[in-house]
Amino acid sequence: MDQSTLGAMALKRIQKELVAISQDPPAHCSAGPVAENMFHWQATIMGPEDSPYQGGVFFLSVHFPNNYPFKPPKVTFITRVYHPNISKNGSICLDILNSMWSPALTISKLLLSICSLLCDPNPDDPLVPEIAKVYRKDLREYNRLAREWTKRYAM
Amino acid sequence: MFSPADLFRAAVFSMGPESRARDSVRGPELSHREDGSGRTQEQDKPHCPCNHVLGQDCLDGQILGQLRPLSEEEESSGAAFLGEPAFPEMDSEDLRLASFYDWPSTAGIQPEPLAAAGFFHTGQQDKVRCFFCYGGLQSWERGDDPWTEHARWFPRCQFLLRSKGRDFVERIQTYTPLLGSWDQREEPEDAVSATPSAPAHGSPELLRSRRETQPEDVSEPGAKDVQEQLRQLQEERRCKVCLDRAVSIVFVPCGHFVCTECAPNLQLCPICRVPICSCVRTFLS
Repeated sequence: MDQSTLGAMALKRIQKELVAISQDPPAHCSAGPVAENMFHWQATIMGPEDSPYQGGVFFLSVHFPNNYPFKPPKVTFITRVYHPNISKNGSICLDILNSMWSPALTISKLLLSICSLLCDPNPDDPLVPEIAKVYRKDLREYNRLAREWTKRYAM
Repeated sequence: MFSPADLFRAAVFSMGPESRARDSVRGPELSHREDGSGRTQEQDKPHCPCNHVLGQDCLDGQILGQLRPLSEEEESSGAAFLGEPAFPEMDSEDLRLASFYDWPSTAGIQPEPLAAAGFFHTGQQDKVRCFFCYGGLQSWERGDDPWTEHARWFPRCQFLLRSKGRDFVERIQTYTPLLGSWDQREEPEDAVSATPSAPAHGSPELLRSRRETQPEDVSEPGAKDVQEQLRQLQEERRCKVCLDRAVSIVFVPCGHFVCTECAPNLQLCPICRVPICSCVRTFLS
């Protein structure tokens, strides 16, 4: 299949996802294209309750490849987050964004998975080992720092 | 020809008052029981009106002169109510049809299908009764089917079951289950009641309320259910990768579906991530 056909398929799929996310948005999340470019979206995630990120609004950038949905979109945080699986430049260590991607996944499901990651960090596969160490040794300090970063960058 | 019509007309007129109706009902039965006098009447009728008048007098005399046989007949007919028709003289469809001579022209239905379904006219507006189960119906609307209404309101009528079959009645009852269960409770009371006037008084209001309830029940749930089912079917057949085309390729060994456009680009099943050994074209119809 040539590139133009794949591109057309990707555009059609992205448009359908936009309709779906507008009609039935996932809880605490929203997303939409940036400046008329359907292949570049901006998403927002409200900090989950019962987590130190509560009250924060986190912005994410979503770039769709031309062969989407056969390759995963690139999702990065624009807002800084104190999290062992999210790097300083916003990269997210989440398996479904890389090796475990499936064409049946959608942006809605991705955003829900990232919400879940905020609530339950995975210190065994850290992107920021220092934060993972704090998370393991001193959970109270981790929560304090996370809340502080949320107030500073996400409010 | 003329004399039977006159007799019938007299009988129909007497149906209004309950007591007279009963008297007219008993007459033919008496004549049947006494073979000698019955034969005599039948032979005399076609010959001359004078004998016709004489016959009427004979009937009156028999009724007046034999009170005990009347009471006996009442008891026996009461006991065998369920097995025998309530109005055996209306067993003939032609006689039932003749009872509609003053049927209102504004009624939403013609007399012929009503008579065929076992009903005769009571003489009051558009109210009819089944000659067998004594079930009463009124407020007929354009498009009503007498057999369907008969099965809806009086599903245990033996004439109905014999004429249309149990399957027909059960199908109608299935279509309106709530009304069916309601009706089944009511019918035994009708059957058991000794005085025919009791159901006559009760039935009009009940019938009206039932009719009012039914259309609403039918329309709303049906529409919602159909739309929901349609949406669900469409969702099931839509490719989960492009979210657009209908599925037509099944993966081996996992058995999940995608469309023909998306299949060539996949090495792992998008649903369960199992490696794809082969693809099989399918046709869902």
